[in-house]
Amino acid sequence: MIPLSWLVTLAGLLFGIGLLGALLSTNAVRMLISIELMLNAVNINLVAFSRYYGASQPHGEIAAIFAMVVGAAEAAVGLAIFVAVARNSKLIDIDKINLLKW
Amino acid sequence: MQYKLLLPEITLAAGILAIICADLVVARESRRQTAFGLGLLTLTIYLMAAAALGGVTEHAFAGHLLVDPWGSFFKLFFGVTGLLLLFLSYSYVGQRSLAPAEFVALLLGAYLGMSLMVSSEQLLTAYVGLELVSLTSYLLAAFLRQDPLSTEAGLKYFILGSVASATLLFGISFLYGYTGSLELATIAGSLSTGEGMVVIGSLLFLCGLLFKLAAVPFHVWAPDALQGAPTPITAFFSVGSKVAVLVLAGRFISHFSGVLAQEVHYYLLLVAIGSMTVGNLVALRQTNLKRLMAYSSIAHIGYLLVAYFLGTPEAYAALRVYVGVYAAANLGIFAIITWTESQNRGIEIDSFRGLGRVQPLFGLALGVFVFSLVGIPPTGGFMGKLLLFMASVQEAHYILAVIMVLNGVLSVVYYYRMLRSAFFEDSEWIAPITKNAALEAVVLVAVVVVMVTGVWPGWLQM
Amino acid sequence: METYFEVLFFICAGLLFYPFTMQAARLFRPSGSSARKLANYECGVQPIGQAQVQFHPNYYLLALLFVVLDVEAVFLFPWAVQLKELGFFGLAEMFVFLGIIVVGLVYAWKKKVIQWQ
Repeated sequence: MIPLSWLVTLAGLLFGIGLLGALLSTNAVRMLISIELMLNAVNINLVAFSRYYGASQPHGEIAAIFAMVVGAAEAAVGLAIFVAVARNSKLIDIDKINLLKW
Repeated sequence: MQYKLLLPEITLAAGILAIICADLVVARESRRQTAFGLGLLTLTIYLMAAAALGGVTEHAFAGHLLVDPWGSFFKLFFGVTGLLLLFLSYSYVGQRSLAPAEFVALLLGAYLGMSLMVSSEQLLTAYVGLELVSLTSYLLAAFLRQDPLSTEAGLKYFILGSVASATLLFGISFLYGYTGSLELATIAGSLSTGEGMVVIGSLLFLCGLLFKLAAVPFHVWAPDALQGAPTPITAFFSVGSKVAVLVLAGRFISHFSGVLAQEVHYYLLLVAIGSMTVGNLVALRQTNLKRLMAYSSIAHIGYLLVAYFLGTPEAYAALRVYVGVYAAANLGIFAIITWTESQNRGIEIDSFRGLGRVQPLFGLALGVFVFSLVGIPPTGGFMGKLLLFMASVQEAHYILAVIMVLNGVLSVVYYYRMLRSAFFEDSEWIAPITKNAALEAVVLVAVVVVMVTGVWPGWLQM
Repeated sequence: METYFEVLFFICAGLLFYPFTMQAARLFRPSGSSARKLANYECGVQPIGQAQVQFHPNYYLLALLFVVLDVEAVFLFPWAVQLKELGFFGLAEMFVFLGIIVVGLVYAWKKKVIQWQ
């Protein structure tokens, strides 16, 4: 059995990569992908902990299912907003979307 | 029967489905009336259901749902603000020919999420509620699809909000990992102070919540989202979703106050003071009304967080009064902004020029709201601030009390600019000036709430 | 550790299987090629232009709808496993859930998201 600490480390790394990607990239779609990466890191964490506690504590797996569904809804909402932005400005480069400031 | 406890939420869900279905069958001309009518009906039933559960304290659905007076108070609060928001947005939606059913259904969806959030001490339910609020909020912020400002607001809100949600969920996963439970009470019960994973988990969780509250290090999204969003939705952001998050944060903090390290409490204090100061300072140089109100709401969140830092029963009582009055005054001001916007005067501070002459009712009401937000007697805002001030003096936090007073003085400057514009400056209003009964009703209700609370704050604590 | 040798064996077998069958087939099949034989068979069409093209936005709308409906199905699996224990009540609950999704689908249909414009 893979030790718990490896899985948690993997989740932490994935989450970090996702966070960096979401904060540093300039393409909105890439940001969305990074955010999904963060959510998947959480899922790894939840499932790993749930397995660690055994069958008596399935809360983690249930939470992972809900996280997946919420993630899909989030992707749908996000893409819908991206389409609206792209129709208005013909691009989804974050650096160019700067009407609102200070 | 358990389902009785879920009645307010079931009402909302059924109402949303009814609005969507009704929109598909009625004629195009009567869509707005149908959607808003059904919305009013749903929220009225919701209010009655929530009121019927007023005194109940009960767990249900294997601990996923908790009905208690603290949550029921906020459900009533949500019901009332929701009704006022529907009145506020009726003419706005018509004037801009927005899709009415989608607007009302999304708004009620947000209220469903908020209602779930305040009635749960189970992290998964709270998270699903929070996400329901967030997802509908992103869409509502971008609701003016043709307006680049609005879609940009939605985009920014979406990206930063999703990162915050993921952070929050990551925190939840650590809390779960350490204790094997998702219930706040069980988690707090099986913890001892200062364990590494717990500190990481609760910090990530708190950061996510503070982000949704737009408290200071995490506030950058708020002014953009609030400026770009449609005006009634800006009103909703400043009084609706934030209050629900505040309640969830309160439940978390009250369970964990014995467990969290002392540093976390001082971190909270730092965030509170930072929010007040930064919000007020940056508001000084704003000219756009919605942006100004966004920064002022950041400052008010700072005051409310002080109540959590103190954590005494007096502080929580003060919180209720403060939230109630703040919401009333904010909704009132946004009703006035919506009206000036509908007269094609834009949303700058200068748009208020001559308001006192053209529409004396709104001018006077603006005065009342501004006095209340600053905290001048005899308005309700004074009572809220006074109670909070006394609570912090009671706990011997004198410096905190002084900072709160100084911030109040600072806020006078920018709130006064609104009044000066309304009364002491004048400009030509392009006729015809139309009256709007719905907005006048909202303003009147808000004035009554603010003034009554100023004399008798006890009614918000029943 | 020994259990992993089985995995290793299957990997090797899998790797060898492909070249072996291809060579064996070459021994027995008739060979010889013509232009008609190299053409796409029945369901294929001749490729035109670049592979990197802009998609019509309607694809995204359909895809969004699909993703949401698809992921909702996640709830059906744990429900199906436990159906016997949940009994009639569980069955009714799931129909409420599916009913809500159907409302969403009908809404999309009426709003002409599904029709190709």
